[in-house]
Amino acid sequence: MTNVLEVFGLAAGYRNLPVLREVSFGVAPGELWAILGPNGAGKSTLLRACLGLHPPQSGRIEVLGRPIADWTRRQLAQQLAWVPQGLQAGLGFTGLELVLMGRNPRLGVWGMPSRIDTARALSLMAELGVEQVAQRSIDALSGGERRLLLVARALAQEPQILLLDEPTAFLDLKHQVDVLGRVKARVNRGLAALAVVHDVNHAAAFADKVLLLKGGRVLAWGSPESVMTTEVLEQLYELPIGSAHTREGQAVFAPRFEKPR
Amino acid sequence: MSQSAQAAVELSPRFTFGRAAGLIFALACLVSVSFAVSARFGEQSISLSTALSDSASTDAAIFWSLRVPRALLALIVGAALGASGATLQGLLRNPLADPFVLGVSGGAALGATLAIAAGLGATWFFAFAGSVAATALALTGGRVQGRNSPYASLLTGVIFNAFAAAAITSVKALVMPEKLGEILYWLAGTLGYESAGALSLAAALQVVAIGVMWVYAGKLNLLMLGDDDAASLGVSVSAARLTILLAASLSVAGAVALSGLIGFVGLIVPHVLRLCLGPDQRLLIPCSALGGAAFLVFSDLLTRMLFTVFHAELPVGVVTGLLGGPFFLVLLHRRRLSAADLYWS
Amino acid sequence: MTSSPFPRAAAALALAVSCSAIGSGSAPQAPTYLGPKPPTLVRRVVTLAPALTETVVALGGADRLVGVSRFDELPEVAQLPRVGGFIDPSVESVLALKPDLVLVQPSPANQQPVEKMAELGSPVLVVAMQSVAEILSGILAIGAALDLRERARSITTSIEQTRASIRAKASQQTPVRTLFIYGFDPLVVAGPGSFADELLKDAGAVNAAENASSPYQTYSVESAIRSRAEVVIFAAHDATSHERLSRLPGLKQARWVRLESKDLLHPGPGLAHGLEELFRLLHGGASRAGVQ
Repeated sequence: MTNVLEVFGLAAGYRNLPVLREVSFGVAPGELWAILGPNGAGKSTLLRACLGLHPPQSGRIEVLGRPIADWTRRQLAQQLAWVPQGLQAGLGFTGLELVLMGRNPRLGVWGMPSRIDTARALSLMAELGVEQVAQRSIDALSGGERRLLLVARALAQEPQILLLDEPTAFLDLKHQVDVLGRVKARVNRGLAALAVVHDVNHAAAFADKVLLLKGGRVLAWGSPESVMTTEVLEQLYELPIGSAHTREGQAVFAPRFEKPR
Repeated sequence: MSQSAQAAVELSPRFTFGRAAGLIFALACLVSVSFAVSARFGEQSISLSTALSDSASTDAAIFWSLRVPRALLALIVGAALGASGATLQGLLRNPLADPFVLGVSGGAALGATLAIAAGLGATWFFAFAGSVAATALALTGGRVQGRNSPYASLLTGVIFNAFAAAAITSVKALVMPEKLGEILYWLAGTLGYESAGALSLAAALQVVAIGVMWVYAGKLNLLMLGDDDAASLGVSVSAARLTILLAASLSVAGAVALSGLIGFVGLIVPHVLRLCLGPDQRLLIPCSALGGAAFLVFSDLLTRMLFTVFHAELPVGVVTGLLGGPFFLVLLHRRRLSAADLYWS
Repeated sequence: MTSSPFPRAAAALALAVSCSAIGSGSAPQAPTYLGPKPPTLVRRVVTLAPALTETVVALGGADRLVGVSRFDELPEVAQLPRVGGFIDPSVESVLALKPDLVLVQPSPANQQPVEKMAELGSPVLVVAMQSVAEILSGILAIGAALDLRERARSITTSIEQTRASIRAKASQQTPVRTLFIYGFDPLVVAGPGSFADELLKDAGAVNAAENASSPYQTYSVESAIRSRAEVVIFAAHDATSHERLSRLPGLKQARWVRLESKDLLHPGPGLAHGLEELFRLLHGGASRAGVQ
């Protein structure tokens, strides 16, 4: 199966500050990739580069076989969608209006949605469990509801690839599982997804592949079972890590805290 | 019919064709009524029948050569200020932005001041050039590390206005005191009597500029979410920002060149309409244009009616402030403020 | 007159200042007509400045006035409708009065409304009244327009005679360094080329502000001190500012004189009275024949 997103030898950063070096990997449809690493490893830069927001200093990124620079914004938005961490406060749009914005790459100049567009948006919201906030102002919603709306907005673009920036940040346990679970369900139906994840255990539980980034370089990548061992994670986070397995066989990792004497 | 399709019949975004058409029609009626009333009444009482039938009468001269052009000017300037106010409030993500915030007032004033001081004619041209130059400066100042920061643009505009005020003060100190009166009069923001040629040119400019702002309104909605969000949703951010900014600036420059700095219209009208209609720019821009036009036409009528009291015409900016300010405060007080209304990040 | 003359004085100053934008230091401007020719018999006159109203009244044409500016305070025109101010005359109001002639003082600020009036069919006579020469030619032009030439000529002749007699008397006095103050906040003095400056010369004074660069010059306090004035004439009614200035060294020694007659504030047909009062104020200590 050909990769929908390919990264070859990517080096990216700012003028005097290189952030990423020699990053290479490929995402195939039906795969949920988790990017793990300590702060400052370059995870957000990598995501922004894949979105075309950060031009590479060397190497290349290809979406559906074409270099990202060859895509117009509109064409790219029809294949690649982004779920950001946060939302501007005080805008005043309703939940439905926000999700309908995701239809923009497929609509005309004014972005006037048709009945079908509205119906699609509502069914997406239902799929993600937020249909009840359709007419409510987004400023009045909880963080979890807002995050789910952003996922719905991204899915409304009907993309082949989904990019998620810390999709579980600031969410309670239930919503963490909710968001990842629903994204995984979509991935199982053919979507490709690349998520920056801060919680190692989420990656272990949900991801098909993980990419470990340290100091701008790829430390390792592969399936969680093969890559996520305590040795590798200790190398990644420079911290003693302990692991265990739940009764269901799910791997769980935790840093080993030194109890103060 | 599936459940979600059924729901779609009841649930809809606030911008629909029907709602937009209805609102625009209603506001257009309001504009027409205020135009008619403004042309009918004024400092002197005239007879409409005489004005329409006898083309040589004084009534006709007053009606066709004074009232109608003046009401048209108020309409054009009001529409420009309303539409560009709404656009800039969205573009800068700042509900307190007014059309002059990006340095337009400083640029126009400085241009006009220098033109008057140097004794050059065609003050309107230099005011126009000054405001365009100032906006270009704000645009350039807004590029921080290669990215567009609306806050940097805003800051550049505010700083430029302060700089222009200082420059104007020094020009005033150096120039003959007799030019002062002329400068202050220009800056007071008044509606005069323009020729048919000037009005046609102004109207054409505004039709184009407001048209562009309206066409880009959908993209402006997305830009309000953030540059990255908008880019990920398919908007060419730099091109869209530049186009919208140019359209808004040209609109304001075109209005200021003719009428000086008339305040409050571009700040209050979009703000009030946003409280009533929601933040969707596709609705807000045309409604703010129409609302601004009606507001300014009506304010101008009031200015002229007050002539019988003061034997002087107050600058129309005074009336817009006195009318608009309290009305806005009442409206703000009435609506239940949500926590989000209280701040924009 | 019981109402405070201050607003009128301020307005007159403003008009004078704005009018002198045209022709400041250059050749005197001749009266010009704008718009259609006025009828041979001018019955309805609108004036947009008090000096012009006074001229019409002095010529005996008060009964022909139908509209005046809001700064007019002559009792003869108290009942007439007001048509606006200097920079904001109401074109509509002027038009509605159907005037045969509109008298206007030129200023860049009222150019647009005045041109509009002319365009819409009102005959306009633009009369500059900044210098003595302009006042005299203005009186004659207005007299010609109203067919009151005899009266106009007698007024101008009488003014010339008064000037000549005052000049003769002044030549027998020692010249007095005089500073003529129009207003205190900001400090505005009469410089060379101003109307007051001409009268000072006639009355045997040396204008202490001779180095000023404009007819209505804003002075700093230092410049006022350095002017070494022997007499300071002020027309404003601001007591505190006058006292503050009169206590300063360099100005303490000068004789401070308050001007009663308002005829010196704005140029107009009453300039002869103003000239006589000025002479009396400057040289009044020395009793001379003919000086009241």
